[in-house]
Amino acid sequence: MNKTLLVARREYISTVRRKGFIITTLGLPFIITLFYGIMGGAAYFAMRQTREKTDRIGLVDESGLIQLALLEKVMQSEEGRVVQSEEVPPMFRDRANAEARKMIGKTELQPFKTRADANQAFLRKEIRGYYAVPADFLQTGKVELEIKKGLFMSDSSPGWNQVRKLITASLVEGRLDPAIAQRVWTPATLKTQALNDAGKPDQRGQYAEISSFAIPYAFVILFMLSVMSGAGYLMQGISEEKENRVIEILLSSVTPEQLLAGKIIGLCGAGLTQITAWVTIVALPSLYFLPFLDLRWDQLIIALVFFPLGYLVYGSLMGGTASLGNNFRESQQASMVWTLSAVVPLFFFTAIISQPNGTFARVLSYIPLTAPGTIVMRAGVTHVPWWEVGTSAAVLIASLFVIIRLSSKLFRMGTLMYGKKPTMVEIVRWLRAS
Amino acid sequence: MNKITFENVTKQFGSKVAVAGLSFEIPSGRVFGLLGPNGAGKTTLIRMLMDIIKPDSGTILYDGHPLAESDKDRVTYLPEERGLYRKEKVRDVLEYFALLKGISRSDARSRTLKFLARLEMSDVALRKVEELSKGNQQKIQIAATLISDPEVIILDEPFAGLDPLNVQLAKAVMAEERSKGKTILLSTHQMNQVEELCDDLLMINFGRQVLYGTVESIVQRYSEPALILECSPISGEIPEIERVVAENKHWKVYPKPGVAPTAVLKSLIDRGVQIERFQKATTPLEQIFIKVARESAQEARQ
Repeated sequence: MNKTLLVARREYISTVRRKGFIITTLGLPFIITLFYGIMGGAAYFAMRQTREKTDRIGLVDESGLIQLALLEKVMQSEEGRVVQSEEVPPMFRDRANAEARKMIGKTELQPFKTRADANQAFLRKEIRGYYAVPADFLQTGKVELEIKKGLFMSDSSPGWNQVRKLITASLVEGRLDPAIAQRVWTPATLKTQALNDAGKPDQRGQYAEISSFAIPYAFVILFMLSVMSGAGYLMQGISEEKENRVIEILLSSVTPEQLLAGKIIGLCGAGLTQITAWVTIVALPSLYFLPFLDLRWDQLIIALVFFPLGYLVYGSLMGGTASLGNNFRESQQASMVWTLSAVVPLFFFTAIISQPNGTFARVLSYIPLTAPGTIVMRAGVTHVPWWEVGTSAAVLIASLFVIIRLSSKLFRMGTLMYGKKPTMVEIVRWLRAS
Repeated sequence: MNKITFENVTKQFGSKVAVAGLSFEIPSGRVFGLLGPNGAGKTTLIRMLMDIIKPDSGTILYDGHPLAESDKDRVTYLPEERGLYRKEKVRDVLEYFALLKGISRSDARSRTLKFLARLEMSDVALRKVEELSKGNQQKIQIAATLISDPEVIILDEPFAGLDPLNVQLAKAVMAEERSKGKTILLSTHQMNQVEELCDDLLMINFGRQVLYGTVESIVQRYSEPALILECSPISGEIPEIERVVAENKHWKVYPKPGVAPTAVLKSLIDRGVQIERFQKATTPLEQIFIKVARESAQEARQ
């Protein structure tokens, strides 16, 4: 077997066997799920609790305009507000509707003859408060609400929708044609149909919009996490080999270029394994949403090309600089600058997403360190012209050659240097001399 | 391939000259000692020999041609400060080092098992390196160096840190390799080891050659032309002897120029001198080392 591949194989196996790698690979999706689960769950239960407290509200009619007989009809019409959209996956739609029905049912309007009666009921804690339609309502149009303040974020005017509808219905009932009257108090609802480029109905709907934002974002986050953890292992490996002098034995069998290349290939493999594991863990449950997501083949191809390229660029840079330190900590400090540049596209996320084919996004696509993240983000929200994707890939490949050359020079010198850290001047001298 | 020739090799790091115009030859099938104080340029020399770093000028030839990538498989190196992959299994580490030297996977496995058996360590094959005692780790290191059956073996302070039993083992292994016609370069500070094990030696200081030749010729060059005798008193004129000096527990006998030691011995026996010990007066290599190192340091200062 080729020596580079031998090194790559060993590096891959030793990396994927590391406890840290296994924990990160298998644990991260669960940690993230758990985190969002706890956050979402907490919010859900908090909302439920506040809802349960706002169940009964009084209604006092001093104007004599309200036809209480219409109350039942109004309550039923509220159900019309629940989600019907085909754009929402059925699982979510049903769930949302069930919740909406529960909410409507939770606010029950209870008529009282006078404010004093309502007040008594309030003191008996039968109601949380009451609406009063004053005698001069027709002139002022004002309805009063006397209510005990709820918790922060809780509904401060429960049942207001029903009251307003009931007033409207009472005003028009018997005075207008029944069909028109119905439209007055249950006015228009909006039904949206998304179209694709061909002018045909687009089945995917609003989730496609979210996915076009979320997928590139998730990719860049995954890329960053993977580069950082992978580079961490690379650095750890190099500094361990340097500390225990194994590196000298290795260099007596392989060239520094072979050693560095092998390490980076092995690491890239481990990184791909990690991403594949993450995607699999996350993707299996999300297959359900696939028809609703705006995923394109070109996005997948771009991700598959740019991920390894990005990994190779960052791996070579980190490998070269990691060899300069005497131990893991020093190596980490030396390579900090690369870790930070991996995050750059995230800093400009909004700028890139809002103007995916703008000058700024284009420039970032041609800078080797930011190209992988930027191109993938752009491809997530728009069709990046193929020539631009090609140029960006070409820039990455060309710079990869330069970076590997420079990195192996640093690696050659750095791995054999012990004791003191080289200064910038020394580093430049090595790069020129060797 | 196992004769190595250095021709006018120079290496400089910044303004510091690590190796200055060295020319010498490591003959095949012999044990070659490389000596020098700390910082003399030994490690740089070894790294150039291994093609880990390139000389600024001059050439290093293996059997008359520069070291090719494929030749690297036939040269092996045990660095002074050595380590292994501590978290990995002994068998995996040995196999990996063998594979890197171009040995096939099946061969690497069988050689590993053979070496472990020879070192009486078959039972540790599947244990992690860090679980072994220090002595056993050192044995594994020696095995890792020799597993590829190299033609040229470079050992940098191979006995440092070894317990006496392992020193014996390492020496036995070295002797065995030498008997197979391997070329061995031994870099060390232990002068007694050089005297005991080496055929030839090169001593460098400040990157320059200060001593070079067979161990025997160098010791002779720095030794007085005298004989050491433990015997009954020597009295009277003896034609073969120029003068006799009484030292602590023995006599130092200076033969006349051109007289062989055996002639002196015969003459003394003929005169009825009782002889218990008879040997050539030699200056220990350690004294030669110190003397030469001091002289070269003085020269360098001037």
